[in-house]
Amino acid sequence: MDQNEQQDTDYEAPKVEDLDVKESPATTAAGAAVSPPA
Amino acid sequence: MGVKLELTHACNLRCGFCYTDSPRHTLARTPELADADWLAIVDEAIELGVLEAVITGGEPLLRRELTLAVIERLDAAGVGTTLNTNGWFADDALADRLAACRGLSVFVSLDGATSATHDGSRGVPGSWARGVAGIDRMLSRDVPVRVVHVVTPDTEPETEALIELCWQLGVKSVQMTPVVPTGAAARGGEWKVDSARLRRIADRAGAQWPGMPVSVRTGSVNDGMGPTRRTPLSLLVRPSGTVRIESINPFSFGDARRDGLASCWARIAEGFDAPELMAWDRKLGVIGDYARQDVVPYLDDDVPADAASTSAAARAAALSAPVPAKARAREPGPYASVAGAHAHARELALARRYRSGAVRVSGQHVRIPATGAITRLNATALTVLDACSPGTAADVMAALRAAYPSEPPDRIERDVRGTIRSLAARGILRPALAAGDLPSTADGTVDLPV
Repeated sequence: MDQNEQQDTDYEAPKVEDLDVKESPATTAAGAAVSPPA
Repeated sequence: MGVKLELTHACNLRCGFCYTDSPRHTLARTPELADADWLAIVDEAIELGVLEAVITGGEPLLRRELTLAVIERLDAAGVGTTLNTNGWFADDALADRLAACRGLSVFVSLDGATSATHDGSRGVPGSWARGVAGIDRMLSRDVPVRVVHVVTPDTEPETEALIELCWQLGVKSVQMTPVVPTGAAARGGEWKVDSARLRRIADRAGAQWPGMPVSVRTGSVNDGMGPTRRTPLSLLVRPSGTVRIESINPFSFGDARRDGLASCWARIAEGFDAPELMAWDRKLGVIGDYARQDVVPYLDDDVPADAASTSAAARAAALSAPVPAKARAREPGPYASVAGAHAHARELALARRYRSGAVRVSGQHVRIPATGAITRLNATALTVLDACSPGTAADVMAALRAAYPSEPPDRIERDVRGTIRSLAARGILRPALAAGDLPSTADGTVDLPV
């Protein structure tokens, strides 16, 4: 596998995900994902 | 409570559907309040506790210093303010001053994806290019720009291409507005469009162009219904100082300069549901056509609420008043085709420079101190953030295309622009020319509640 093919496989659409922050940072959990188009 | 201030009758464009009939008043040089009168009215509105204000015209930026003074005064008092403009006069200096107003939202009229369609609709060659340039200058400073698209049988074929162009530019939202048949539109013309089709376009656009709400405004020629009669939440001040409840209600309740806003407001609260006015409202609901009413907003002169009618002679004079001719189109030019116009919007968007917002980045997490929000980015989104801090969308594309040469460039470009829009909406990225550390939070309102 050449390098280009390796990189092609690795491309992942950018993802921007808002986390649901409850009262303290320790309770941070994944919330509803808001992502740019795939 | 809200106020809508029509700072001027005058306009540099010649729209055949102008609901305020501004081209006619521009030609007639209809008198309007002096700057000092307007500033006194604004001070009283602030004193009375208004929460929202809409600054409109005509084209308010034809009275540039007054418009800026009014906006700055309202913004300093914490009033959510919306400016309605055609964008023609939005130069760098103006955009800088607007960017300093944190509660301001700007609505710019754009009727076509191409200069040919927009300029035809607006009656003045060059208005598309000037409007788009103004939009870009304001977005480059993080002024929230929302596009109002007047949909007519002539402009509707380009509606979907216009929505795409707005997304390319980075516009915050698009509102499709069928013609409201008052003012110039009440003189005649074919304005009706298929509302159901517009709603389908809006639904599709919501999925296709994320982060940019697209809506259809009601209260237009298609709805065939008058204003709902309930206690008003806002008032409108005409360029002459005459006070009305709102745009689609033609009756006046005093004069802001002579009587003061508080007195006019008391008259509205007392008399908004007077029998003569309710009769006008009921008739509108039945015939569904402003042009066939006894009193037509903006076509007829402002009619005092205690008179509630106009004469046949006055109507004839309004219908026959001279209006300026539309300017003839120039040579087609580079933006007369959808492809050329989209290429121009793409060029503007790719050249826009960004910087990091006031955030703390740790690994794949970003915290926005002002709100406490935490956002997680994957590796590709982090690359976008890094390349834009500072940098342009073109810089990001170059970085990703070098890293993933086999990935289709179109896909990378769309991903990059979507991600920049997403990061900018959260304040993680800011346009390099933006004022301050935090983005404006203004959602704005194209009009006030009725």
